[in-house]
Amino acid sequence: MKGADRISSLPADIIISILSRLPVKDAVRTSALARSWRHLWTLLPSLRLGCYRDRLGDTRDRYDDATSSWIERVHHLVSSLRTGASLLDFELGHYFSFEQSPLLQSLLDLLLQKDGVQTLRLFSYRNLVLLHLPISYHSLKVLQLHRCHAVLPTGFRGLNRLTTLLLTRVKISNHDLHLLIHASNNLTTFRSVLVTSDDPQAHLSVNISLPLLRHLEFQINEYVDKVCVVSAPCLEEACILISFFKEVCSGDTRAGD
Amino acid sequence: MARSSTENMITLMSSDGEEFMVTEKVARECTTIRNMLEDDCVITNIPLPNVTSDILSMVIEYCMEHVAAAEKAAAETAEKGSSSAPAAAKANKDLEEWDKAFMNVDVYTLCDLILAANYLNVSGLLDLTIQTAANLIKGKSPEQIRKTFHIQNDLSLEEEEKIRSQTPWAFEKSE
Repeated sequence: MKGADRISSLPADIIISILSRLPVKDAVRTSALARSWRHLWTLLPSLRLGCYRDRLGDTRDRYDDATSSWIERVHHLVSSLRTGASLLDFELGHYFSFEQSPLLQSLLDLLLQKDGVQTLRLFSYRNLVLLHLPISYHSLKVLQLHRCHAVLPTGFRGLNRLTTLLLTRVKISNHDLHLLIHASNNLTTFRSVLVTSDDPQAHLSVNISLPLLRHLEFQINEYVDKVCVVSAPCLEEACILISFFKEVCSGDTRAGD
Repeated sequence: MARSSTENMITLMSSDGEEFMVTEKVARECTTIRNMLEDDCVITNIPLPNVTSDILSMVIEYCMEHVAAAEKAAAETAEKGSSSAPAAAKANKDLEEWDKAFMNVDVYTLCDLILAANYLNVSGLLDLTIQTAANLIKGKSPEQIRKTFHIQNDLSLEEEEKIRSQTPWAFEKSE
């Protein structure tokens, strides 16, 4: 018995939790072990891809540069995932350049064709990348954008399950920011740091009225004219940072309405 | 091993009929058993038809070691008022070393331990065994992984070639 193949007969969910502990490259490599392993990795619940963790990059690539071939590999990975499958958690981070925005957009569109993604984190470490969010997406609970120029489509219907919205170094129009916040009625956590307006004539002016909001972190910079918490009955913690006079103040409030 | 006589003892019976007497505290490390005890507190004899005696004895060994470590840490905290950080770090390190030595098993036993830890819901042991299995796959070529786990390659040459050509980067040697 001791020489027998035991691992292949483990239940699929156990094998998938083993694969989840591996860098993506190692998990994908198991597709060539035997027939029963062929598609197991495509059931991974989480894909976290980035220059720091996935080892997807070619060693000939410059390490600090997301090459288009890297994005193509990610695209291939996402397209290999079974439709309607189990991907819950997607994270992408690299030194993207602005010119790669269309590639990233098509990757995002492909990803969001699949139902059920609950967490989407996108980090651009070099340039601001231009991204259009979908008109609606029902399963998303966590959205984190770093160094993106976010644009909402006309007719945006909101991310109605969204509970956590984290924006850092994001450029967005006043209109879109308003829409994004207020079409997301279930937000419990909202962080806005170094968020700037995409129109120098129209600074951000934010009214926050969220029935379930518990944690708020908002940094006021020179692109922000006003932030007003109109209604947040569940608010437990609020941190308002004023940064443009290099003067910082923060406070915890136990706020009612 | 001196145990206070007031401590409840539970008998666990393996699939091959062997009986193991353990303290309730040790048995409760298995969430599956804890739930049974909470549903029915007079239960003292638990058959475990999915676990063989050699695997069950290992699971019990793991649970005993971890209960003893937790008790020792709690006793030290009670004695000194608070646990000293270096002592706690050393105890953690010792337990990690113990876990590491405990994982020095063949892959067949490892897989059986994964199944038992999953069935009995011993989260620490499940985490340890799954990570150990992952470490055995990490950085290896398909040939090496097959050899490690005795996996029969039932793919034809053409099929394997096709799979490799779909994600060629996954099969490049890591630096």
